[in-house]
Amino acid sequence: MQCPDTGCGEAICSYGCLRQHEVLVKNLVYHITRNRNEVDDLVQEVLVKAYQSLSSFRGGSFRAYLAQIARNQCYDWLRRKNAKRAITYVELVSDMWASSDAGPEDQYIQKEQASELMQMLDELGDPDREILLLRHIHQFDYEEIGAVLGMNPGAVRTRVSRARQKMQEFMERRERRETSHMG
Amino acid sequence: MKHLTWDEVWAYVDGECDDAALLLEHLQSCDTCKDMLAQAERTNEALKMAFAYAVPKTSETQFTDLLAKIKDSMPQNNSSRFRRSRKWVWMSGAAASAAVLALAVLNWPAWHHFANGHSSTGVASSIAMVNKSSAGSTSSTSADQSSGMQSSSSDSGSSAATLATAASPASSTGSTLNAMQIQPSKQGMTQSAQNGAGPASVDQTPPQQTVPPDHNQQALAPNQKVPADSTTTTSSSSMPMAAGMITPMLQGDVTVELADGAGHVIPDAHVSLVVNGQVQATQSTGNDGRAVFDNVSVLQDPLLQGTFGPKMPAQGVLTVVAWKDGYQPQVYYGVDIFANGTTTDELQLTMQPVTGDASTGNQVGVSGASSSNSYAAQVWDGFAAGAEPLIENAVATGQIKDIPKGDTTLDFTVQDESGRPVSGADVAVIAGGHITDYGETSALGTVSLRASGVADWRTMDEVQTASIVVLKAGFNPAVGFNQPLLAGTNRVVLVHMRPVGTRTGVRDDSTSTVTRLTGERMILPADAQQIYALAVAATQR
Repeated sequence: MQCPDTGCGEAICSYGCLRQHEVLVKNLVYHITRNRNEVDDLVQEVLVKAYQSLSSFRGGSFRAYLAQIARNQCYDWLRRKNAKRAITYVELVSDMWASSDAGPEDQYIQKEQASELMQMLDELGDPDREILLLRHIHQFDYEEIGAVLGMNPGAVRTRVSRARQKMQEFMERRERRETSHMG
Repeated sequence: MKHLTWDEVWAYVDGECDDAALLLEHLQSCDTCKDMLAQAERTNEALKMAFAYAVPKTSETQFTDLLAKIKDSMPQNNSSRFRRSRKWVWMSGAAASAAVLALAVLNWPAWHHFANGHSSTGVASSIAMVNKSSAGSTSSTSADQSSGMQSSSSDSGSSAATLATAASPASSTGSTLNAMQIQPSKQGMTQSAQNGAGPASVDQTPPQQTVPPDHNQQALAPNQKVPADSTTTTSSSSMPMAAGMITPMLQGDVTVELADGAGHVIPDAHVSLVVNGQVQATQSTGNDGRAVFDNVSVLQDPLLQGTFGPKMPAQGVLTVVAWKDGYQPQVYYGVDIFANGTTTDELQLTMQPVTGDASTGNQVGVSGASSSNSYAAQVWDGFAAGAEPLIENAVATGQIKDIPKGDTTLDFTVQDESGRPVSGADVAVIAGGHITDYGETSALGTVSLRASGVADWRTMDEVQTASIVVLKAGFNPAVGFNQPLLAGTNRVVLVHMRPVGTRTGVRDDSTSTVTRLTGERMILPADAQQIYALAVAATQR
């Protein structure tokens, strides 16, 4: 694969574009730890570790291999720090609009929308969130997700289906709420 | 057919449906299942937006540091094993030709600051326009043909000219990222990149970027001020621009050198540089065949402005008009000046000597570049790669809702190669670095947009043009530049998308896969005649 964003041709890109991998790892790290301050360091640790241990990569999906390392690294970090993710997604984005240039009304609408979306993520459990992140954002197939989470593809399929159902229920509730407000 | 199951609906949304045609047929007549599909698509979008919120961005400096750390940590540093240079064959070899016209762009200050972290230091560039005399015949260049620009085919006594640009790398940062360090070719019409891409990856399903991108290199929003360290701007344009549009200009010094095929310089020829329908400067070539232009402002391509990803730097657009008694006047469209000054262009310009026939002697030769061969493919791909985050960001932040509707209605039908509708495709019209309308195709693959464009920089009229991009995971992006948008009209745009099995995002494939949309506005001889007349009139004033 080429490295289309950069054309850098580095050896590390022989497993795909590092920028893309960085996005994947960053997404995973961020959504697992929910710690904005540590994201960059952890991403760096994950990628350095992955490339240091390339000899242990046995082929298959490189990004699944990376995602597995990222996931392990995050949970290790949480354990090491004895960190509790008391912070919710809603809290996480609450200060996002402080420096926004949007007017007060737009800010309010954007904030409401963001809060609802974050609440949705809060309602999903950790594994479901990770599964949906990999599936919807990074288009992992069931086999790849299985490799990351140590599950068989059939179980992943069931899990994806259940998580989506949960999301849809959430959205239905939200729509009903909006309708009742309007009515 | 029974109602669909949720698994079937999601398989369709995921692009993994075994029999999409059958499913779509059912959807046409079943409101229940149509609702299910709409709900699944809404959920899919909500998830994408939710995950994209709040994730911190990575700066280019951070990324460069990361790359360096990884390289240092590699167990065996055998990067050269993977390194390869990428070569583009730009043009066919020069035909027998008559005079040599050399144009050099020297000491080009790359003022534009990019998100890729390259400092904007001075850049030395050169352009050589070659016109060799010949008693034999010449043929139009491939660029001329494929760009749709009319270039006179030659007959006896005709001549050809080559315009070549050679920019030395702006390697001030020493970064290997985003810097296509291009070596001037020694012979033939080739361009090579030292930092070529690596070999094929074992990873066949790369990720789609959804983290809100760093938009430093993206379009300036209307009314947004140009950062001090960015480009200079000008309001001297004589052509109408979209409301609120800020048109970055690149500035530099230009030297034009004219010589014949034997290397003899051509003195006393007129050379004008035209930008956005306005003559910037006119010079006569001196005894050394050179015309020197200082502090020329070059318009950043209004259709590409702000849309390239980090892969492609900002690109200036310059029209060169050259004329001298005894030669057919020439208008050369689209001298591309990259702000980072790291590219080498070699272009050809065919010039006809006046043979005594006044009707042909006054006919302006038209040629241009950047719309053919692998270079163009790279431009299209760079545009698609840049458009994706632009759209994502606009959707995620709700900017899409605030776009004022334009005067031109574009009715899109997006289909796959088999004619099946492609639903959920992002369709955007982009001009002047802004999305002028956006929509997502329905289950039937249709969407109707009301968009606006910017004046076609290549011409003197006020026809609006815009770029169109259609994106859908699993398909090659479709891109159309210079698409005419005629006010008050409806235009039907049929887009056939080619699926790529392993491609799940725009940025994860090579440059040769973008599908080019038809309907591009072509430059006519009358347009060149107007530009030439403008240049002559400016000289006589």
